Amino acid sequence: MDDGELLAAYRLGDETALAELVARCRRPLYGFIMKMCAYHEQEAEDLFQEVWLRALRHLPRFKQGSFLSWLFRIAHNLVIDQARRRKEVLSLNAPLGASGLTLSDQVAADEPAPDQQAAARELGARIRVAVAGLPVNQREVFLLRTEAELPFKEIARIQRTTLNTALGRMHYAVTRLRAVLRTDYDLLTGGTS
Amino acid sequence: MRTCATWERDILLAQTGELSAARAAALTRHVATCPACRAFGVESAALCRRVQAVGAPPPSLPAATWARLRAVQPEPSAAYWSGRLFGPRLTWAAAAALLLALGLWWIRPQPGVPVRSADGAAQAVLVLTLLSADWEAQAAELEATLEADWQPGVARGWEALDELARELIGGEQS
Repeated sequence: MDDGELLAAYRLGDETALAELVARCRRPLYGFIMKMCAYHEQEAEDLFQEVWLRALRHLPRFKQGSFLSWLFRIAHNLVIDQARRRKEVLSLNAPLGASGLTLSDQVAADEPAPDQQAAARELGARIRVAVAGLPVNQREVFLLRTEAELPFKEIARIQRTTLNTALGRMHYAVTRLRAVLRTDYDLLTGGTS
Repeated sequence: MRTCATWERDILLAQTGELSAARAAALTRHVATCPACRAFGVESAALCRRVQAVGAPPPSLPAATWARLRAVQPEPSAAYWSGRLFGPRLTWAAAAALLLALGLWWIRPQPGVPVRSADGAAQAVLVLTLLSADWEAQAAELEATLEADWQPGVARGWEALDELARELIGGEQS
């Protein structure tokens, strides 16, 4: 069953259809929200829930097109609102997620402290930090592309901007991440470079 | 002359399948001769794949979240409210009344402008034809009706006035 068929079944009262939809969208949507709010797990879980609550409440407004794109449009509004409310500019000294490590700990340090070396060496941790350090607009384009696998035309619609601007943001994000992760290329490309 | 930065944007578009065939062919030729763009393509694709794998969500939805989602009542649609408040017949009647009111407002007498029946009739024709779905056919029909009825109507009016005048004059004379 595709998303449209599951939605139709849910509208007729089939809760298993809703469970299937939520499960299907969980990885990309949660991944996007999680990375947009710098790996704060509780905040990500709350926002994930709020996206679904709004989507289900306003379901009659969803007419056609990709349901996942519609969810990401709602998520975009929520994460941007959240960022405005907190007026949070990611600080180099703000702890990131459960590790408690900061950006300055993990990105800038060529010589990490001994107790942080293991985490810093781990590619996943370095990617997390590098992504969290991107400006919000660039981070969002990058995550809509990587997590949701949306085309740039759709990303531009979600951000209410032009295709060229969305593409430019992605280019800046990738260029910046390549610079930050320059020592990890071998791991990134499976040791081929 | 295109720079590598513009080729790199084309690489990003090619990865989502949004690059036209002509530009994709040009990109292929460029990448074959440019190691920097080739590296950008390999590394950006690897980066996207690797980022996806980082920070996967917990496999199951928290029970409290699931309970809240199951309790959601979708808001009624606009069609629901229109049907509930008015019903289909009343909705059409209300729409027709609104259109009629708008039409009357449009052809209302203007202050300082003498009212001429012909103006009113012409405006009424316009209102009715604009409101009509098949307005071209309706307009032709109305014009024909006016042509047929208007002139004899005016002539009959003059005749009646003449007759009244004659009666009045005759009455005074007698």
